[in-house]
Amino acid sequence: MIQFYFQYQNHWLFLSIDLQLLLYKIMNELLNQLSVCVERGKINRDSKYPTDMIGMDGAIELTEKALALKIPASEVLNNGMMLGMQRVGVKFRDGKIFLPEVLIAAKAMSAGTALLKPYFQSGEVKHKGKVVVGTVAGDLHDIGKNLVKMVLEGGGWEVFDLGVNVNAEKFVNAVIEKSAKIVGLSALLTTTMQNMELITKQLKEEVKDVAVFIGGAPVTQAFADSINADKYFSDPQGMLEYLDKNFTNN
Amino acid sequence: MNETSVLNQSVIEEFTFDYNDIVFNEIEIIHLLGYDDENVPDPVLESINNIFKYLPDKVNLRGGFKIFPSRKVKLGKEKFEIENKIFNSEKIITSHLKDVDTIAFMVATIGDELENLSKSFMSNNEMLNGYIADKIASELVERTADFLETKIQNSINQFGYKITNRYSPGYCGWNVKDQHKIFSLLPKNFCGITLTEGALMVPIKSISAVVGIGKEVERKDYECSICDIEFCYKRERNAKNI
Repeated sequence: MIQFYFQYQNHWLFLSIDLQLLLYKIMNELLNQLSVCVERGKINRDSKYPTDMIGMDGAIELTEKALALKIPASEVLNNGMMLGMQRVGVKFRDGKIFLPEVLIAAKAMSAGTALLKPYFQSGEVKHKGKVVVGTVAGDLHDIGKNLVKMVLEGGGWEVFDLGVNVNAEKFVNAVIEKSAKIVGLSALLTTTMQNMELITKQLKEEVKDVAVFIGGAPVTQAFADSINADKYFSDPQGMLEYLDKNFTNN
Repeated sequence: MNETSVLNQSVIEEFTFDYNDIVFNEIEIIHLLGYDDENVPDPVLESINNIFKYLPDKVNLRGGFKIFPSRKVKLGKEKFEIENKIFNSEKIITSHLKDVDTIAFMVATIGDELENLSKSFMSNNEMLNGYIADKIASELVERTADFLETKIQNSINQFGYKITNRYSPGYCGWNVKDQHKIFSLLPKNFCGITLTEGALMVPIKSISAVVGIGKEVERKDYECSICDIEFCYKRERNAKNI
């Protein structure tokens, strides 16, 4: 607390400032602005979108300022960026926005989290968990898998992308090597979705307690049930919400 | 082609299409993405407009069809047979082919340029552009197939024949593996399309389909209400009246 008198228009005024409270409010406001930037997809000061935020700091500048103020990196992530992505998730689930806006927000989030990389490496900030994703053997479609990767990363998960045309052995090896317990399988063809069964079976046999999730145009929950996969998701946001609820820090 | 040749001999045609022949515009993509005309975020609009500028010179639209002589075609309740190859198209599709006089296979592709553009965006972490390029590519190949259908219809109009809707392996219960049989009855590398072992067409943005041909055929839409694939592309297009 600092207290002082000062003269203003021939009057002496007394001012008492609780510096701790002031700093707390500045930090909170900074994190709130950061969450809004992520939610609205404002990457940096030069970004021309959203138009009502032109010239304002974006996710990059606000993250830099927050770190310069010594706000813990985990606070910057959880109480800044992540809050923005959570609001995006709710709007998407409620049908108020569509996938492009999720991607716009995820890009701003990604720009901010890039500045947190050293903190992830030092262990000061932790991911919610590890997820291995890939498009199953025989299939070369990667768009759905890429979207899942971006949305999960934006949601604070560490994602290992094995690419396309990935067989059971590669999935098993990656899961063991990365000590991951969550796998996302993608397929876009009725032929290649059959390979999900083999991959799921092998993963379940060789990795204790692994959870296998599937997605892709021809896939359904009934199919997930029939191949003993843990769940089917129709969109990346649904998978993120499910993982957040059931697997955080697995 | 003359009236008797429609049913009595194989007819094969292959085309390269001009982009300007395809009925296709930005508004339809906006609607497919979920937006109405008013609420499109600027980056989405900008991305769509940029990719559309790229389209005319960079896509390679091709299509072709083969009409089979009616004597080589046998129709069943859940399958049909052409030149002794059995196609397990399941009853949703075969019910739409029951009144046809003969059958044609058609294929259409937009080449791999737009697919590569999408991949390039994705690898540069430009997910929005990559997603939109992919969406545009998917719709463009559908429109190319629509145009090819019109070509087929125009080629047989004068003889009083009509075509059914097109039905593709992978939809309505028809196993996509049958694509191998379809391509075995078409010239090698037809329209530049090849198949992987898993029946994936390369370029990926390609369509193969069967259409029925007859004087009494009735053109019906996909019956999404009796199919259990909830997030199918056909269902999405039908729901948005595209």
